Amino acid sequence: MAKNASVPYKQFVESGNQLVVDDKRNAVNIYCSRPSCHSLIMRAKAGQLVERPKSKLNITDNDILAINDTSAEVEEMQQYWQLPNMMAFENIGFSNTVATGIKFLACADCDTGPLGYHDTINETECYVAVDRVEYATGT
Amino acid sequence: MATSKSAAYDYLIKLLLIGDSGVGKSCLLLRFSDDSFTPSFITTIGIDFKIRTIELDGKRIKLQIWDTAGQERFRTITTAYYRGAMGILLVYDVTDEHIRNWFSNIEQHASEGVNKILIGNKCDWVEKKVITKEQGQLLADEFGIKFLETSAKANTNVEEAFFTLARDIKKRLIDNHSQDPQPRNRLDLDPNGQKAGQGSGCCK
Repeated sequence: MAKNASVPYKQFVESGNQLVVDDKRNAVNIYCSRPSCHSLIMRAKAGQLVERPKSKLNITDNDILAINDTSAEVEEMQQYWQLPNMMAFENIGFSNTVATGIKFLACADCDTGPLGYHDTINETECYVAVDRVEYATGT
Repeated sequence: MATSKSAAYDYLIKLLLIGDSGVGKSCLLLRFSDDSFTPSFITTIGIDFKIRTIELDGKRIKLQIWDTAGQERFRTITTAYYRGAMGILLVYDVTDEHIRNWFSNIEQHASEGVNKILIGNKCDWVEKKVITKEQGQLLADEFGIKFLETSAKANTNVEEAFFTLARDIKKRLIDNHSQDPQPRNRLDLDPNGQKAGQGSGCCK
């Protein structure tokens, strides 16, 4: 399997437009950020840039025990790649469902994560955090 | 190279990993499992299934691979778990034999005709080995299924095991049937990939 070079998200912060093409789709292939792994997670244009709460990625005892945190703070948002369903991935792992109905996403080849989440109660889509994966350089 | 048909695939194949705790089922799903690395969040919550994309005879195939997630400890692997499975990797540890029970479990609960392969894992562990390759092969012959020795640790035959099984399934379900380009098998999966009796069970 050819291992193409890739770079982390932070290298694009100055020019986020590099990362998206028409319709806010990811411009390039997306890989696991662990250097010794570099598994292909999703191909170019498989995802669409959206905003969702950052807290979706938190793993707390509350998740596991289903204690509802009802704090009224304004939720901090962050960017994710939205994929219509699990089959849109090339390679990915889904965790068991925690009590809040969330499945966390892990690298299929090294279990690094959470890279994103899938809310089994509210949505069919899957979300990959833009800053937890790497991006192919060149084309 | 990446194309705009990013999510396009030809077939979906659902596979199960079956075998005792500790035989290395989960490790067969890790291509990079160097000892220094322990992915803490997954050890706590556990993997439900993985999606792998492979290319077989020019076709793009999605493998959905389910692990028993510890349920095997309670011997609660029943019909619900096997539902929809097209192939089964029956895994044992070559340093410790206990496989016959699982074969009868499969015979009892899995649907007829499901493809199976017997996997003798940890074959790199030569000094501890108690089941020889010949014994493994004899057992597979007795069951009437294919056989491979693998080492997840040394990355020996792991990919081969999944490809062998996927190829057999493709032959059985697709090549032998229909000219239909949209095989029925794709519909076996509901959109959320949830299975009856599985899902959040282990974390409650």
